[in-house]
Amino acid sequence: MALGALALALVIRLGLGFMRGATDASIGPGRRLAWTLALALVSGLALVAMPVLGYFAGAGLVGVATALLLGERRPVLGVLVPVVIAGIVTLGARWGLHIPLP
Amino acid sequence: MLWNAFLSLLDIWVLVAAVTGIVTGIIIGAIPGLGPTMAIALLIPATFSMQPIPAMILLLGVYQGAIFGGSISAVLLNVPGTPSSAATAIDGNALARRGEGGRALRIALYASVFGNVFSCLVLMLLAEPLARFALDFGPAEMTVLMLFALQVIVLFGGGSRLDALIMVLVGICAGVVGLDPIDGSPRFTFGSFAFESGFQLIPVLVGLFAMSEVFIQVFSRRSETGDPEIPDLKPARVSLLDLWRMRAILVMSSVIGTFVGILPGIGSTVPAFMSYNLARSRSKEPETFGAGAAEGVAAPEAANNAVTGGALVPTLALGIPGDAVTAVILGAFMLQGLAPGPFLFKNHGVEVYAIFEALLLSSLPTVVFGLLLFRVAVHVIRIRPQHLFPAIAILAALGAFSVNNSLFDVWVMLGAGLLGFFFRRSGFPISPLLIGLILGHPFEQSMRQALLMSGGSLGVFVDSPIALGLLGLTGVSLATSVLFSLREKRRDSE
Repeated sequence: MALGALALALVIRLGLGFMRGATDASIGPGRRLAWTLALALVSGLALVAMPVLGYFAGAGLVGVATALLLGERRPVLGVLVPVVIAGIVTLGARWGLHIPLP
Repeated sequence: MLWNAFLSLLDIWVLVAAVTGIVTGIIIGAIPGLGPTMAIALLIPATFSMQPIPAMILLLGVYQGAIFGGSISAVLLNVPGTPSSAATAIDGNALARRGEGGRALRIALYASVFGNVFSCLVLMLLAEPLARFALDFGPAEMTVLMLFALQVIVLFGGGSRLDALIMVLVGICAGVVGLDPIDGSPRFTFGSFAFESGFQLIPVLVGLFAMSEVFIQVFSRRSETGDPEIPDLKPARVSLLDLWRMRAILVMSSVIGTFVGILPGIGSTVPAFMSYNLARSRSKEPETFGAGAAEGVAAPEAANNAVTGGALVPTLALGIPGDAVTAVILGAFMLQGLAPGPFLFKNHGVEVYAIFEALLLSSLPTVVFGLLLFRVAVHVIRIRPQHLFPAIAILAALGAFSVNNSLFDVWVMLGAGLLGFFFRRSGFPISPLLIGLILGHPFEQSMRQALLMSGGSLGVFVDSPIALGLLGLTGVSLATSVLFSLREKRRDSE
């Protein structure tokens, strides 16, 4: 009962607050929310694929998606840089920190 | 104990950790949008293979460095790198616009170091006696203490109290997930084995502070507007005499920062503005405030850096974090096997005092690297979100995975990130959620233990003088908050 009341209060407040926004005047075009949810979806897909493809591929995919959704259109900066960062992090974690990455 | 602690600092890796932490902190703090909380959460995996002393010195160095680093973008861009630097931006940027950016940054640096040294001394003096006192606490006293802490966060954390209350309750509910602490039955696990150990703190932290920021950046992405205009940094000097003239305001701001920092949930923004207002009211030339007064930079910087030591007092002595950053630091201490709370000083006294002494001694490298990094930070500020946040997303996935080498934790991080995005976008404060999550489980455990011992009688919570005193404090803080609200309403209506 108490949990239900808390969930209801949270949902109502979230709905009202999200439309108004904490800092911005309004929610703006719906596509901004779509970009955000697209990143969440790509990150989820990368996580599903991570046990098969490995951390490097999964993290690289998340990095590239983030760069592209943040508006980077140059292939070197939008694709190559995130892939290089994912590579450095993978090598550093595996050989430097001895983390058994997937 | 103090000498043994000092001897344990005579290790090259301690020096490397301190310098790395401070430099990383200054650079990360200078970048608007990245704060000490995110920086520490993302760096925790790097400390897994380290000894506890250098590991904690690295993370606390990041904390110290980032609070000062926030003033760099506040002074040069009028964009506070951390919320606590907002007060610094008022006069710091005014000084920078009239060609005295270098002087403003030096004043900010020296005031930061002063506040830090002061609060470290208070931390060394207060934390151990407080922990010794807390050794007498039983489950009933711990329950009332945690209730007091949660209430202070709701009442005085700033913003809407209802929002803060909802967030604390959401955090406590999240802390309930997993096995029952008394009878071991699964709760809210939905039949999943992975849920039985509950939500791990670090993946939730990384999600709430790092991944949610990535989502917010994607949501509010702006078209390229060119490089920000940064004023020239001309050579400048701040003499000891200049600092001596500001001694009273430095001491008072440090006192405010330290003692407000000890109270849970208030953070470093409130004391920074309190000190700024105090400096203006005490000044012989109050009209210079807002137009580039040196005291207007020194006061908030001394205060927001003094919060670092103050906030560590309840975190280490009682296991109750004061704000989001100390909640992350609490998680890092636990991962290093140094569980904060009354027994920390008893079981790991040498390690804890070594960390305190390192915090004090790291003032020297903070000054040196602070002075060297002004010009580097100017370039760092120019990094665009589309080049920075892919790296944050990649590191967030690693940070969450590395806690238990489990992909489940990465899912938790992603979920917390999305939830954090919706909460932050809607104006909910995140710190109460985090502190509710940390305190939820021990709060429930202590309360149920106390009730089991008393055979279900609530009288156990008023039986001891300590519990009674803490209940009195809870009542006083509630009454104070109600009085403040009534006074504000009356003032608004006039």
